[in-house]
Amino acid sequence: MNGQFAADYFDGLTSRRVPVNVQVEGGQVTIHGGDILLQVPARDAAIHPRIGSVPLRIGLPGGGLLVTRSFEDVDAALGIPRSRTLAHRLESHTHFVLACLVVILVAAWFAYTDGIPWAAKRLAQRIPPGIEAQLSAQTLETVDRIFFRTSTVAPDRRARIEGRFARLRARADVPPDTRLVFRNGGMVGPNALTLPGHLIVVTDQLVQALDDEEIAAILAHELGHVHYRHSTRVLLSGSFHALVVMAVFGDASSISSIAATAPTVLVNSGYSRDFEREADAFAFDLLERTGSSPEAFATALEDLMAAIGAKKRGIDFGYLSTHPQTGERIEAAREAAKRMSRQPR
Amino acid sequence: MAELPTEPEARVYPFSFTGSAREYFRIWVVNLFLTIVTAGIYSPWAKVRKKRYIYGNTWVSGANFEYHGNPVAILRGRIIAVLALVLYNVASHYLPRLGTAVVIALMVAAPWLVVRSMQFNAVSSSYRNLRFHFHGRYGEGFAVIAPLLLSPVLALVLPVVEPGHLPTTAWEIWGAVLPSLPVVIFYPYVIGMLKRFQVANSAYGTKGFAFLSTIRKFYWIYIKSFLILLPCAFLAGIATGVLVMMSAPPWIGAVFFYFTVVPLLLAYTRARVANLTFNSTTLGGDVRFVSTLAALKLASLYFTNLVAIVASCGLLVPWAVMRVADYRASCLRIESEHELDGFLAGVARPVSATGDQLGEFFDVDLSL
Repeated sequence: MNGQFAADYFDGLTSRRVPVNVQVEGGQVTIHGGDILLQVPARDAAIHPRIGSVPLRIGLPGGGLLVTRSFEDVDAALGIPRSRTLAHRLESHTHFVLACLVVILVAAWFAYTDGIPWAAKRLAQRIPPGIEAQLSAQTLETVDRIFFRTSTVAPDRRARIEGRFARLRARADVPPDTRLVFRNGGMVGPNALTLPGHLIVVTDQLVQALDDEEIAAILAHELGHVHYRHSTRVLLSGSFHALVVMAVFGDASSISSIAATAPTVLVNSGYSRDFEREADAFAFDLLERTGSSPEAFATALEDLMAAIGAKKRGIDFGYLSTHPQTGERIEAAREAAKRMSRQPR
Repeated sequence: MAELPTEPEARVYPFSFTGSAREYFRIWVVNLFLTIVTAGIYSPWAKVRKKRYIYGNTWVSGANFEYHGNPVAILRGRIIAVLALVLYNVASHYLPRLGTAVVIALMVAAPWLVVRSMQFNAVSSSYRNLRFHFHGRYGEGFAVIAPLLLSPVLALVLPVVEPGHLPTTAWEIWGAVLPSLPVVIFYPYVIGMLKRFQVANSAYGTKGFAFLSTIRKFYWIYIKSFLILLPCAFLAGIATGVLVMMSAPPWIGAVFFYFTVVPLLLAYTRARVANLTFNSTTLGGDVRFVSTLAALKLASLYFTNLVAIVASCGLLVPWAVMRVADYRASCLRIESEHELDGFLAGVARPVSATGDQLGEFFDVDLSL
């Protein structure tokens, strides 16, 4: 192969740039320009992998370097090895790039809808209880700092609720150390939430809005979350999402900090609709087994809606905003209650 | 250049960036695809390719930079990190008290990690076929980040607040607050010292970099950023209140905060720290750096990037990265009384034992 091209020459000993003319003939490369005149065998010229339109770099024996934009001329004169341009050729191929894009989008969608929830479910079952307890302590610490204050529920009321909770827990197939704590919800409002590691938090505002029967129904629902380890799964999914986001946006650092706000998100955005339905079904069953009616769950939701004035103002605050499709769920509870009353016990 | 032949006028060499979002998008997509189909094994190669593109498109005085990072070395480092994490998790399952030992081990390792990553970055960078070097030592690195190591020490010593209880006694409240104090007090000090450590221990060829700023100036940057934060947070709070009264859910406040206050603060501190660092840096005594990043301009870049990235589900990340790299380069120049031809290669040493660069050149260029 023969040919010639213009390049910048750097000798590797100084920072001097020398514009040179490079001639390739009979397996010999002749570099000539300024006070530079040298000859090297063509097979010793090491072409660096090509990337975009960044000038090509050719390493020379002895540490010299040629930098040139004459891609075609270099290919004609020296022959750029195909291995040096593999990634570049893939990147230059519009159809290939589009195919990659489709694969990425499909993979991202699959990961989001199925892959991550599946992995989170599998992993949640394997997490040792000690780690879950640690998680719950950390999360509670965070939400305590941001949202909650000490509870002011009267001791006798609290004792009654705790008694009902203990009876439900005994029949719920949840870890025996599942705990219930009371907190003044502040801006969170009437709400109940389950933290990873079998910890249920009930706000004073919720206690005020509902009677004991209704609170028991809500607790049965939260025990459903404990039973299915929903909050651990949500947290794990969050971590997986953050991992994926970091892999994708790794060079866009500030976006990743936005993904790392699991505890707040846990309170704010709540669980997915599937988790809610699963927990509802669990609650109906548990209420039935403990001799209560799912009707209490329906009235609890209605009372909450009334307490919040959601119907009137069209705003979803507190418990209801984290638990979508309230009307649908009330109906489901009523149907479960009807079914139950029809079945002779 | 030759208007004033009698006075030796300082020559100005502006940096420029020639990367295009279109090209970088293709590289980014193929990188992501290969990373997915190889279950992450390709990611070091992807990282090197992205860095090579950004270095190769950064020009000053008619020459571009080159990144020489070895993907295999990066892969090895990542495998070690993952193994350490797995080992720690398995071990802590059987030995719950291992936590303390791990914290201590991490504290010992932290300066080493700092030095090694500075060294790797330096020795992997070249300009005009001359490598950068870094010769910082472990002891010095330890002294630089020592104030931050106070936090884990305090956390180990002080009582832990029982989960589920709010701190009530003064002692418990101190226990919760005290460990974060060293971070707050010494953060500007550590940032300033890290910049000094990196710059003053770096060399290009045989010429060393020097760092001529006081740590006090770094404190001013962070104090001012805090003073900016207060009214901004206040305004964001008011805006949130108004939005909530107009029947928006309360979490809109967090979103609002992320999209306005965070980019502004990030831009302010990054622009000022980069300006201060570059403007305090000389190379070989007579080559000066001038950086003129404007915090507001950078903040508007961050803000529009954030909006574009979220709206495009991430597909505009390459565009965002190119914009920031372009702006950063356009605000940087070298002033020198001589041509940049006179630097000599350092003594040839094994690559793994040498090296550094001005870390800011590229590591921060990569970030949004």
